[in-house]
Amino acid sequence: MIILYFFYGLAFEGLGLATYLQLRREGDFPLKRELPWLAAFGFVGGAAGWVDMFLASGSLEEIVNILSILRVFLHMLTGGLLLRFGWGMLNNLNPLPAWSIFIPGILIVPIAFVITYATTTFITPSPIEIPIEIWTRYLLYLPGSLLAGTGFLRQWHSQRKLGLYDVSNLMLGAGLAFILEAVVMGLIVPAAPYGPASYYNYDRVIHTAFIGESLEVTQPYALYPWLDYESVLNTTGLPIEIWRMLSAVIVTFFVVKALDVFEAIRRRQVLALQQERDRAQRERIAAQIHERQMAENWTNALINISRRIAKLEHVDDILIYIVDNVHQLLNTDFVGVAITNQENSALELKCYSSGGKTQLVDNAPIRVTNSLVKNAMRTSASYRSLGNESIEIFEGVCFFTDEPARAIVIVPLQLENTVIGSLWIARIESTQFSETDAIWLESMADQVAIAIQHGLMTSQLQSLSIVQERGRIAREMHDGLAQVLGYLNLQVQTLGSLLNQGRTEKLQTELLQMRQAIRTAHADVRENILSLRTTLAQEKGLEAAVQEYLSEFEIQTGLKTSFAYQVDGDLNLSSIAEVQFVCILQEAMTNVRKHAQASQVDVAIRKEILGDGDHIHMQIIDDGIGFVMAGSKRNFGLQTMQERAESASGNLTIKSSIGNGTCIECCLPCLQQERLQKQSVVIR
Amino acid sequence: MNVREWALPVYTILLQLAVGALIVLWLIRYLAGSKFSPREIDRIISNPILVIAFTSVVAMGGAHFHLSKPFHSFLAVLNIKSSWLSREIVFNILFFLATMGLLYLTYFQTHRRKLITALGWLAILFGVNLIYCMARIYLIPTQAAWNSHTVIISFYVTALMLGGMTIATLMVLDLKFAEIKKADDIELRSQVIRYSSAGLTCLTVVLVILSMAIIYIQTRLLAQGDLIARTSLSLLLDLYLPLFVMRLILLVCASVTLVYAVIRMYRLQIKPQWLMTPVYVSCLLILVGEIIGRFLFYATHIRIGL
Repeated sequence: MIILYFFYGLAFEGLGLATYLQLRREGDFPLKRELPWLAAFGFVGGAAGWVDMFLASGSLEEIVNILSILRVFLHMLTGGLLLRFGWGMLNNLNPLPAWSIFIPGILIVPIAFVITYATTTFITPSPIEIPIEIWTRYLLYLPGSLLAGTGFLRQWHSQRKLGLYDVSNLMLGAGLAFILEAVVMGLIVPAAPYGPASYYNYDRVIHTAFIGESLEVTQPYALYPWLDYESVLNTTGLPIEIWRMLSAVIVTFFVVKALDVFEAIRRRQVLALQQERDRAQRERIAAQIHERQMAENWTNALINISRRIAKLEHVDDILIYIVDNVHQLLNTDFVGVAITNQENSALELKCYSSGGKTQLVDNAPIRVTNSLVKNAMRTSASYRSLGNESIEIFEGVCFFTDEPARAIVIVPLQLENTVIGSLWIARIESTQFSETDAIWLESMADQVAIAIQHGLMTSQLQSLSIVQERGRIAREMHDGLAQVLGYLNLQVQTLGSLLNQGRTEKLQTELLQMRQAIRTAHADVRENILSLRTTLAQEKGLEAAVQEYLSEFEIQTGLKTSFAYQVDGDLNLSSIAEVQFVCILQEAMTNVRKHAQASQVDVAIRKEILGDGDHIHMQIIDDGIGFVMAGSKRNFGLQTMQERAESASGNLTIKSSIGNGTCIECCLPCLQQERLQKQSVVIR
Repeated sequence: MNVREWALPVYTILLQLAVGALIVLWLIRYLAGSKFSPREIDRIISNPILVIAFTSVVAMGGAHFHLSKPFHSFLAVLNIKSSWLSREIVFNILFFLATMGLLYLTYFQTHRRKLITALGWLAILFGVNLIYCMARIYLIPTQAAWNSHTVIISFYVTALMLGGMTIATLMVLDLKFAEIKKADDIELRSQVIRYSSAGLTCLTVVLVILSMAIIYIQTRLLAQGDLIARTSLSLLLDLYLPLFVMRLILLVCASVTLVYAVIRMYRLQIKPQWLMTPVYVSCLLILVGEIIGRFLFYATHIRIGL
């Protein structure tokens, strides 16, 4: 018996020690909060077992009373700690369902009756230690073990749900171990004539609690055939102390194993958490890179659009470029640009991207009647679908497809506070566009409006240029060919008179003068034709055009020319600057032919990098007679050249002196080079 | 007392609890109906009525344990003209039926408010008569410890004391349940508890004082009585003294706990959910105290003659 008590105490002390060591480990798993109670239960329960051992040995008779009191106290404390641990296991690890809040309410009457019943048993003549032990076991050990067992069984259920079968099996073992402990420690008590103690006790004394002291087998409420301690002893052959020791060992084994597994799980969870965190970080970085790439793509697209606008490309080409970029950058199924017609009576589709192709609507006009598009134009406010709208309201948004749109963004096109149309995007799938998508689309809509505005300005500019060119040609004809023709008319009349008078010598002299005048007029006409042809032949490139012009000039005038071109790649001059550049060259060459009496003209074009960016520098040097700037009759032509250079934000300088020829230098700014170097990712 | 004898205290205590709870519940319903929405109040009282009905069922079932022939219990009603026991059984059945009807109406016919109100008062009337009959059974000359009208008063006091505490506990548990379920009537329940807490506390304190006064009167009557009565008193003050003292202590502790908790709730404006533990503890203490009292009531009687 002493050895049994010793191992009983040892098992519980082992439980307490193992739990305490688990407590000292790092980590914060749910069971850890309840472990202090389990550790305390183990230590105090072990101490109680060892006190039992000393009492059973009878070796400390002088302090037997103290030991008895200590035993009562330790058993009560052990039961209390077990009850607290059991409650924590049941309630704190996995919160109980809401209805369980009523359990204490339902149990209040039975609890009150049991407490009262227990209280009344203290007035029996038996030693007070007996009812204390009985009710300690009934009220503390029994519910505590049952709660702990139920708590572990709940853990078994929940761990199985999570697929952690190794843990769940241990939880099942621990749960069953506590249930066994509930029976052997909570239900088997000293013999007493009340409650279950009357028939299930240490002392193999059987009473019936229902009818007092007498025993009748036929009593319908008697449960002793199943709960009789002696029957259990006869069946198992083991006294209660062995069962208690076994239950303590089993509880210790399963709880300690379960704690180890919990620790392993915790490590696994920490590792998984770390991996999850790393993955989330990688995804975040990838998302940032993607966003940055997208922003860069958008920026490049916008720059390229601006560049095309600045180069005065045709507005239709720019529209196609914009729509195509929007289609690819926003991953849309449809992109549409609609402009209000000239009568301002309907909204007509101008350009669209659908089914992998982007094109203008050239044939019969397609009217846009969707109310959302019209409403966006009427209110001058963008619209973005959120995904909770009925898809019927998106009808008439996607053209050339049978599928209805499920996600759209509509942005009105505004030109100087006037809404002139709308740009919208649509997706057939239900993935909605983000707010950022809508912002990017608004910036694209601004570009569309600017392109349209530039288109209008370019056509106005072209009309103005035609008027100016006609005026210039008229002036040239008036000053040159018309004067010569007038002169020739007079000379023909003079020749007629001289012929009638028979003055042959005078006639021949006049004929020579006429021939000279005709030759001059012919040269002027040819030069004008050359100038017109050079100006209108921009598409072949400036270098080739100037080269051709100078070759023609050399043939026509007999002056030697040289041409040095030192520009790598494009000139990157705006269209207006290029026109002015050629006109300045022509004006300068005309002046050389007419006034300079030169034999050689050198033309050099090169690119210079100045403080405010790249510039195209042109130098025209002749070896003629030169002139004095002040009072020169060439002032009008020089002033025209000056104005042309300034209109292209450039400057023009003239250096000349009598006998030293003339040097004209013109410098025009290029477009921003660094922006042009960025290539759009959009493949076109 | 053996287990069979315990059936009687179980029966009397549970039935008095059910009647008292119904009285207190109907008072709260009546008073709160003028301050809050009557329809909402009816929704709140459905669970307490379920508990009252369940308690009366358990009490009736438990009562059969102390009968020698439980299946012949219905024959007791045949002596209704002369026997208080028969009257008790009749009123018990009537109270049970009225409570069941009330339960049906509050769960399935919620719109019939007037009928619910009338049936509630009718059930209370049956319950009051039931307690009276229950008490009158014990007023017999051969039982010196019981033969006093203080028994009738003490039964009513017990009913109201247990009923008040039970309703308070149920309302707080219901509130906690509503909070867990995130129900839409949490605020209303809180307001009703705040509204009724002071009244319930005052009622409990007054009843505890009254209960102690009755105990004092009963002991005085026993002390002034004949030999049998004095023997009963000596039993109470000798063998059962620890229980007698414990009962008084429990009643006082319950009152103090309740008063402290309610005052703290009002002063610090704490949520009524906080009352759950103190109200539950108070209810448990009073219940244990009253069961001990009932135990002493049965344990100290000494029959005169056969």
